[in-house]
Amino acid sequence: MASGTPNFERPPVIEVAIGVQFETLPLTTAHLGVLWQDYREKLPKLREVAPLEGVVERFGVRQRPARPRIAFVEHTTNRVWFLSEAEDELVQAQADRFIYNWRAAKERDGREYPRFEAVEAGFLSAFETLGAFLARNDLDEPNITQCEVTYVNHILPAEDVWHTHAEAGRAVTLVSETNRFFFLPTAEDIRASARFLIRAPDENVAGRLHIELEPRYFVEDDTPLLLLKLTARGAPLGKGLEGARDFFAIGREWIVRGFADITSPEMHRIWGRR
Amino acid sequence: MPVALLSEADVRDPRESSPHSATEELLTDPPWFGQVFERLVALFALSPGWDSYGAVAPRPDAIEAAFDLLLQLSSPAMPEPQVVPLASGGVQLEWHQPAIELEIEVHSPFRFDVFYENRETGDTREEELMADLSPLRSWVDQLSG
Amino acid sequence: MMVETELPDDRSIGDEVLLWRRIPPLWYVSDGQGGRRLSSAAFQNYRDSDGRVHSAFSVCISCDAEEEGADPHGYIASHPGHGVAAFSAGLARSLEQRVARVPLEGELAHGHVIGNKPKSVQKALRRGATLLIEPE
Repeated sequence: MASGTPNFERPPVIEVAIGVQFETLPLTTAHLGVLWQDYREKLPKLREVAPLEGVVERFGVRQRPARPRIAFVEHTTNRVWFLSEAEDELVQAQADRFIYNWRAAKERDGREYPRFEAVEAGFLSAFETLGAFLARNDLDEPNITQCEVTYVNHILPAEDVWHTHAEAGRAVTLVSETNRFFFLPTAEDIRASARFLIRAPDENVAGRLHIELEPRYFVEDDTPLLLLKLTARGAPLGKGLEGARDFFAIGREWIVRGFADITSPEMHRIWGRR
Repeated sequence: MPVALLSEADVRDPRESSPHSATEELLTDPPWFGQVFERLVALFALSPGWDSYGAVAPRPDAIEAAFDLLLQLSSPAMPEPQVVPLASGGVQLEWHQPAIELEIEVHSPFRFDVFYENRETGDTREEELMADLSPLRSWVDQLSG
Repeated sequence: MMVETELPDDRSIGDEVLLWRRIPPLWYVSDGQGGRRLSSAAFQNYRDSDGRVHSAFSVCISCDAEEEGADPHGYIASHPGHGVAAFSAGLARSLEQRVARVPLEGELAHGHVIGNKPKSVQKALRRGATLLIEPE
């Protein structure tokens, strides 16, 4: 990572996902079932889920309005999950997408931060396994069209900083504090989203950084938390897997720098910013 | 909404239903929108050899990409595009005006071959566009007058 | 359809010979002025179902067809609603295309127009073509 990139001892990252989209391969549900055999030893749990829709970052035109998709649903292969026993490592595969997720084993106190290098190594290993499967079955290797890195943060309440969702602005400076109105009372909660164009070192647009802030409660005990998700997405910055890795690197840098920009100094102290 | 994160199961959203997507736009559709949508949908029904030669059937991802592109480009003043299937499985959107001609070949969600000609200025462009569609924006705006 | 993209130009097909191409109704579009016109899509090269691009499209070589007593109406007899466009072999050659005979069983006058076809070539073919029979 570039020098000067923010570094935290105890960042609130709970999950990191690295993925690629590619031109649709002739992968049937049967293929995906056989593919699982190559992952089964490490990822023994299998689930079939609804496929993810493709997302393409485009520039120079407005964002696609929310409309029903015109999709030929009958021909869509489902997505499969290959999950570890502890459910902290996941490979997601469908005919046009491949994602590797790693989540921290321990939530809240004593959590383990999923370091990017380890997650990327996990993705590369899993993607190589997919490549070998495709080759054995006389299928083309994936032609990668979009790359994606996602960091999911669970920001826990912090003494003297924030306790309720209305105080989200004290932890995440993307929003302002919500208890300074003349007429309106304090908000129940607040959610926000922002998009930024990612520029490569040559100043060309390389992708987009999506930031989403949402209020959440832990299912276990109803403690409030702030869900802060940062996703960098764009086309590979060159051919093949190397081009995808180049995007992962720049995406990760923008996520980490962006995260530091939109979170408060008070929370940085709690997270041990170096 | 398909779940893609392991950690989603541990937390709940305090709202009972999701708010409207922030991307919903208060935009009046052009008057031709429904008709063009139906023409795109009709392309799904074409079989291989529909052109009497060796055409492949229009690919679902190309049809969907053409629809998405229209949503991203259209405005109430935009003239109606012609929707033309390509023998290669893509979809072509074309506009023909006395001064301006614009054709967009949609091969996939990731690749568009665009031809633009302005007979008044003599400007002619033939470009392959991928992520950056900003040239298209200005050419489409010219169609709208 | 066999695509013989390595075939040389067949000069026994004179420049003046017309090449017929069937036009499905979907390739006959509004001209923006109340009328209709051919789409450039009618003059694009083909792609296999496996995605490989070939640098040719099919035509009927009119002189060969006429020798067998066929005419443009016969060319579309099995394709109701289709039209027939015609352009000269010379026009194709002026656009750096090769014209070759590729006889098929049941279609001895079948030929190919072979060569790279960027949009400028497609449009030039479109402009130089005449509609002998309008699609319905």
